Amino acid sequence: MSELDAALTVFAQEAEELLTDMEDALLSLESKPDDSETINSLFRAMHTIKGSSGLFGFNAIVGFTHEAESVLDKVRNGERGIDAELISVLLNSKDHTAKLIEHCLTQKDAALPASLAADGERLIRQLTGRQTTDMQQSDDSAQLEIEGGGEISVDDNWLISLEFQKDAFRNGMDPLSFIRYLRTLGEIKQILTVASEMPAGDDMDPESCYLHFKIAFQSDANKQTIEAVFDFASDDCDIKILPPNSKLEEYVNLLNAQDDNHVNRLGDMLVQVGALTQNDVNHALQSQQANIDSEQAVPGKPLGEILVEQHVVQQPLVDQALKKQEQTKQKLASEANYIRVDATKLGHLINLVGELVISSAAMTLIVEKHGLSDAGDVAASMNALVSSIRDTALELRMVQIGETFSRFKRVVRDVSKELNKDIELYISGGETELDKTVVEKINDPLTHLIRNALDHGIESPAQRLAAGKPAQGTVQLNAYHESGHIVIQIADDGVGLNSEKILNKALANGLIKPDHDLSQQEIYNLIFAAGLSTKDQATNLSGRGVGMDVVKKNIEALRGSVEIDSIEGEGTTISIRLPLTLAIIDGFMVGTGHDRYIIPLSMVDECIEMNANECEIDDIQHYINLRGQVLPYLRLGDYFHNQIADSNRKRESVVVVKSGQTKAGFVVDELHGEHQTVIKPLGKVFERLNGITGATVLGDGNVALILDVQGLIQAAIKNKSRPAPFLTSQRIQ
Amino acid sequence: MQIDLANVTEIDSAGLQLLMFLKQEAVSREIGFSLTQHSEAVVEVLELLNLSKHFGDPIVISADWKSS
Repeated sequence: MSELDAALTVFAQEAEELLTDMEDALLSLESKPDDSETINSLFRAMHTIKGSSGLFGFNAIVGFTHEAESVLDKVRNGERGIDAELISVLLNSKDHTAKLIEHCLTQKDAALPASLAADGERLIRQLTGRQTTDMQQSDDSAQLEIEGGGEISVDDNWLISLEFQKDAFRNGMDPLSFIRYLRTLGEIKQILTVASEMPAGDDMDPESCYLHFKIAFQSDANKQTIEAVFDFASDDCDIKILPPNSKLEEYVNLLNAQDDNHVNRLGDMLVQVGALTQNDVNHALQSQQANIDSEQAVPGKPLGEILVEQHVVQQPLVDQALKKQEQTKQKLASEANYIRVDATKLGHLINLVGELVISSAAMTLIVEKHGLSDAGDVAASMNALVSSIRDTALELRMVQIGETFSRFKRVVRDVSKELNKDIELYISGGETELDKTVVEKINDPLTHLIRNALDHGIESPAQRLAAGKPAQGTVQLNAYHESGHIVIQIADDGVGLNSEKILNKALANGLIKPDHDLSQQEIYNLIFAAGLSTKDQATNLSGRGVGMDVVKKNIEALRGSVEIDSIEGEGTTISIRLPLTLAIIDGFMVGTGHDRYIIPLSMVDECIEMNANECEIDDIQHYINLRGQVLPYLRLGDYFHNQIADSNRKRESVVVVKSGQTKAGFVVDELHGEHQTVIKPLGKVFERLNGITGATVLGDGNVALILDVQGLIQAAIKNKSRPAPFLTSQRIQ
Repeated sequence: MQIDLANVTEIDSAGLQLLMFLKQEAVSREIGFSLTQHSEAVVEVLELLNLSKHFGDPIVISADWKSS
């Protein structure tokens, strides 16, 4: 029984992935309806689900997916066109399949509920209903177009075209000798000597070469050998060698036999089978590049097309190679090179690596302490290894954010239909990687923010047109790396935030007092406060004033931050900054008194000496002058209440930290330098401490606290003059 | 115009090109042009490049030639 359960789990997982892929594929079909690869992947998804459902005897799923599969098969064969309507039916079918699977998994033996069955039948009718309308099939009769040979017959002969350049004679070339040499390799069936470019009268320079040759050549030699004949002339002659048609079959067979364990480039494939030589490919690539350079607006022609145009290879061969390439890609995609690993095992590995980092730090410490110079080298090389193991281990958990992003395509599509708005989602930076646990936790906040953008941000088409904007609204999802953080941006081109409205609401809710003087930024940040919504009417999507505070809390729980920027009437951009990983960071260790603190290295901007002469310290307001800039500072010792006698303050340093655009200085007694920091979460008791996000164990067994830089910067800015003991709350509530 | 090729012992591509040029010029100026007394070397090249027809002059193959 348990084995079957395990198999079912795999089935459920696989089906879910396939359905997700299917949704992506369908959505991308909306913009590119002719992409055969996408249609194939749709077909595969339905086909695979049907197959595996059959294994478990889920007949309801088999029945439904079979219909969908047949329709997709028709689309694939070009018997049926794909249009928006079909895509939308297929999207519904995908949802229906998911429901069926859920039903089959949860209540295996129960009959299908009537509503589900009815849905299924309706969808099947829609799927199969109109299928003969769009009979559109391109004329596939393979046309062999081989020109360039003039009157020369091509069937069994190599076609060699030699266009000597004007300087050939001057460079000591004699075309005759090449042709004579060529005869040693086979038989010249026919030769055409042309001097069509030879000028008349005095323009003719007898030292220039105007001769072109077209040769039909019969030989068993391969292309490389034939090309080698003209090797010597390659600088002064345009050589094109087209293999005989009879060779085509051979090449095609070779192509099919090619190793399909990795995807090769088109040129490489053709070179491997001998249909092209490396020279041909280089030449074609050069002209491709030249095309791109010269006409920037027009995308470069595909390599295959150029090769055919240059008469070095026949069209059918290129087609075959492309087909093979496609097949290989598909095969690789279907058997993707992944190993499924239990997440807890991975977590365990990362914990162990963390311990390894700590103990390697301990070892280095001991080696230094005892001054073991010969052990030093060993320790250093082990340290290097440990840090690369650390990076690799962390990378294991890294996933691209693209998958999370593309889920929102569906959200945007559905919501915009529901709201009668025309909204397009643009995704960029999908390849940006971050920790899987972070990805999972960011999903909800992102969904919320996107729904907000769709509902509050983007106006209805009529309003947009009235405001002089295109009817179609856009929402952009973007991700990129920035100094050890990942930044996720959600930008819309909607109404933007109305700061006055927010202020009034906040006043009415008692979030702020009338005499508060808030910056624009601070006003925007008010929307993260609980119970504030500027929407007069709550919809089922958003507007109840709950949510944004949850979003902020969720992001802060990930040691991240949110920033909002908006221009009224033009749109809103929300930037989420998240740490790349939750486990190990590069830290910068500082000390005050006997305590050690870790500042994430990526946030350290610089270190300066706390020198009264240079910095113009304002001890009351807690500001220093950093090269003309006002820099609020915070004495970590005071902040964390462990003042030591003032005598220790003689040599203080300021660590300038930066988070986003804001900077602050932390005043410390000692700088200890870089430190690989394994983050250990604090226990429940300490969770509510401000200014600290975690702790780490040092090599000597002591504990250092990891500072919450963002929180401390806020504290430095706001509590200029009063050293507050564990500030209770910075949130606006 | 008539060109006697009897004493040509060797001819290269440039020479051949020159002959082609003369022919082209002669045709465009409507001057009669013919090659006579082809030597073995000339015939070999004309045959190699399939140009005998282009010049269209009768070639007399002498029995002394080795072979071509």
